[in-house]
Amino acid sequence: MERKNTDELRNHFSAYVKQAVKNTRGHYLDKKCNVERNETNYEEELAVPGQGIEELLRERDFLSDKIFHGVIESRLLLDQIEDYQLFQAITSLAERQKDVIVLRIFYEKSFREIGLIVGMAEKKAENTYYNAVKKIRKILGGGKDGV
Amino acid sequence: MEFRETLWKAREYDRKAMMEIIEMYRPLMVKYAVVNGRFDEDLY
Repeated sequence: MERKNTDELRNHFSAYVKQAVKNTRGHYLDKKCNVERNETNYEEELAVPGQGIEELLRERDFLSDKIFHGVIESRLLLDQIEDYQLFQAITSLAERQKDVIVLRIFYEKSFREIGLIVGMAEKKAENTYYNAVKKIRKILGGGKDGV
Repeated sequence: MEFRETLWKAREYDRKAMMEIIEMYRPLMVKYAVVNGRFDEDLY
């Protein structure tokens, strides 16, 4: 009788865990899909056929102006972080890493756009972002769940 | 340790019991962390 109850409990719990994992997976994939779709759309917008170098430079200047204001705003945004450890971790980053983190997280920019704004290659913007995240995780003393 | 006991201890934040439960369901988590044939570490 006791054995049967235990098996029943295990089965119920397993079903619960399985459903929870499936739901979490679904939410994660939905979110990821949305991010990718937005980034792809933006990149399509950026890839205007026949866009000349002058136009690209103008766009870069325009975006550089935006980053100036963005960074000012980002100070206000960062000040609103209630988790003191997280705030410390982000503010301890190098200026460039901080810019990339702020642009990526608060302004939801694609790596290509971040590259244009801060003046680095798309790939480098991506690497800078992931290195910054790694550093934050390390400061917070956790693994991938540390953030 | 009996499953029921482990589960109850895990609910009380007993670290050993929590790890035991996680280990028990690790294969399930790994299975669902694979997207299009690739293991997605962030999802895991």
